[in-house]
Amino acid sequence: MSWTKRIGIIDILIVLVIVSGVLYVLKPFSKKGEITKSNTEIEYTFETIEVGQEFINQLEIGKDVYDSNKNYYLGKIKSFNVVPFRDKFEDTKNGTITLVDVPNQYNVLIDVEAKAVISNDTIIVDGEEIRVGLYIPVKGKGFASYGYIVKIERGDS
Amino acid sequence: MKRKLNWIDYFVIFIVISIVIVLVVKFKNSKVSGPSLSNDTKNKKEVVLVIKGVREYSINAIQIGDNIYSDDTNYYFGKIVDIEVLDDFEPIIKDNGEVVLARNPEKYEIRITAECNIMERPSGYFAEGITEVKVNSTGKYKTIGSLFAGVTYSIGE
Repeated sequence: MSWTKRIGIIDILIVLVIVSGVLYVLKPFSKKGEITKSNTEIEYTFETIEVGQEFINQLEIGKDVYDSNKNYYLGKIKSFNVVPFRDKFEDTKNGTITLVDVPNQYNVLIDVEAKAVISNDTIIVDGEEIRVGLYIPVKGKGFASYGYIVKIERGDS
Repeated sequence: MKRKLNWIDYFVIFIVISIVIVLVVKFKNSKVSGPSLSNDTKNKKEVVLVIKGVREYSINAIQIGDNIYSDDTNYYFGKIVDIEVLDDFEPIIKDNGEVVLARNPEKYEIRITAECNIMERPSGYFAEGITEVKVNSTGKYKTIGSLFAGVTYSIGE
């Protein structure tokens, strides 16, 4: 007796249901796979504010930076720019607000280069979604700080 | 010779029919509340989001044509069709007790007009049938290059 003769309507039904179930479960994941660019070189700028000279002394071009909470690799320091930290000063006589330099306090703009996966409307560096306005904890060999991502330059833009 | 169905066969048929019913009900429900809602039940409306007290970095990161997603629900919200940048002001009390609006230096207000597929229900307006849109409510939104908190300023006709 051939093995095909043993397949009944119940077996076909079971296979049909299992296949339908698998397709139904996999359907939501199909859109996420629309990766348009992988391993794209990007450069983004991380800003940390109100730091002292000791912090700046720890920054070295070419060194790795990580997300200190998730431990994701965020890239290498390409360059950094130090500017004075300025605080708001309210002139209550004239009714104006001005920014004044605070002595011995600095803002540092750290340019980081990294390889990113750019999928539909998302730029991901080692699991971290990179966006201007994202507040992240960053650490290097001898420093750690919180700050905002303020600029992203992509290879395609 | 035809084999007679025994109680195991009936049990298998019962299980298969139950699974089919569950899948059909689930699929029907997802069509009612999910993002795949048909277009004829939704209307295109222009929703204005306001971001206050941001720097030039945020202005540069948001572009016309970018898709906006809700950072809370992760669902598509709308497409940016217009961006208006205004100076940001802050109230201060002068020495003579007068309250004036002073220019907040280097800070701006961004008004983003997004074209959204809005579904109207008795309980409110929903972008793509999912993300609630209410004037004066604050939400977190994201585009490919930016992350921001915006207040819904208006819902167009």
